[in-house]
Amino acid sequence: MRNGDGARSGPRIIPYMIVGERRIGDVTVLDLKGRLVFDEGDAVLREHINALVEGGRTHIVLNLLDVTYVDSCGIGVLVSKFVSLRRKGGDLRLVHVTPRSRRLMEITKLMDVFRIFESEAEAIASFSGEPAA
Amino acid sequence: MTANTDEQRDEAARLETLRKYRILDTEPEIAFDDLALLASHICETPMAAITLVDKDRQWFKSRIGLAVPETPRSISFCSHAIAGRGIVIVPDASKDERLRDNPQVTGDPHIRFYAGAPLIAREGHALGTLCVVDRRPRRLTAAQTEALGALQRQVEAQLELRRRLFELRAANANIEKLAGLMPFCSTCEFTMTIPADPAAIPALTEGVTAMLTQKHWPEEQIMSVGLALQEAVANGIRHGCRGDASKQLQCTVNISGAGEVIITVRDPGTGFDLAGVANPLAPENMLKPSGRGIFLINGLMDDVQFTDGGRELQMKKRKT
Repeated sequence: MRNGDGARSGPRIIPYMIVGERRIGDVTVLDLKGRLVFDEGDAVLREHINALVEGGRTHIVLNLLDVTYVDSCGIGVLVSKFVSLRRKGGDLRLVHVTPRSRRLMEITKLMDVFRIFESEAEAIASFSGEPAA
Repeated sequence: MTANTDEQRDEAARLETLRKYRILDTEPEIAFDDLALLASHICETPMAAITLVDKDRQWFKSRIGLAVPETPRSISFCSHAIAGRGIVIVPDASKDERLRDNPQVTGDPHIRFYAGAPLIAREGHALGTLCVVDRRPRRLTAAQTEALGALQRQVEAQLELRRRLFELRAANANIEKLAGLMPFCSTCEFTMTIPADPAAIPALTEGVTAMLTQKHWPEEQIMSVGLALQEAVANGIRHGCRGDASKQLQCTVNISGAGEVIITVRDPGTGFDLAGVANPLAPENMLKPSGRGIFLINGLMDDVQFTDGGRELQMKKRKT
């Protein structure tokens, strides 16, 4: 996982995204912290979810509370991981979508594509009864 | 270069570092006095000091049981201690060849025992010591030596804090002076050359965001401009420069007093055909991982134009 701001040159202001992971039954909650943008959080998140899928964990809740910035690349990762999880019988569900992320998803009409929850408990409960991959 | 000039050069650099702490001849401070007091209690010595070794003198930032505020460097024990990196212990100075004729040994305060822990600066120079002193010969227990080392690190931390505070104040004063210009700028225009490195994007978007905040733009509009700029520059890097960080983008940001922001981003690439860009809202494109950048820019800004075969993007937004 890439994080920290020491490894690269340039006027980096905000460190790379940090992904925290919690497992609750079959559901994996990922707490994202940082910028989900081009060349920063996008690759970190993609690799993290890929590793989970390889381990057979396909019920994923993304907690976006501490995501300070999202751009089209960040949205692109959400969409591509959503698609690949769905193909494997899983899903990517979102919780605590900040106004900034919401705005972007509204413009790109993705609010109806993702299942979005107000609380983490609801998001986790929404997977109950769905068979894990 | 001879060894002697090497030494002189090192000493000049050490003194320059010492000046950066702006501590010589300052008033006593409780933070330093507390640490000297703890050192004297823990090591059970009647005297303790935090010394800083200047060109020709050693000056005491803190002193317990010592009468004078400074002594000539020539008779200073600490100038021996700062030559090394570990704690220097002299059990009995009257039996030490280098020190037995020292006037501080032969006369007042009749030093016999000395232990000095060098205080090391960020640059690696030894500035002075935290030292404990006694009038009778003695030794330190292992625990006392360990504690003296711990206190020495605390003194170093206090010194470092003090220096950082000065550095921050200076940096902040510069920033405030620059920011103070903003209210008088009827129009701010920045013409910038940006490396095609994603690491450069935050400085740009955060800077423009700060300027719009300064100009009292509504938060939602600031967010839109920041995001559009992020998309435009990321596109320029990814497509216009093919991710080659040695290439550059030209960017101008014009924020007018009339309440309009005009941003241009120009890349050195081969351009593209706008008509060939797929609509990301078309059902077949909805779940594609990419292709939303230009669409987003259009959605976020009031007016968006691509010129010169797609190599230059101009986008405008008016404050509401």
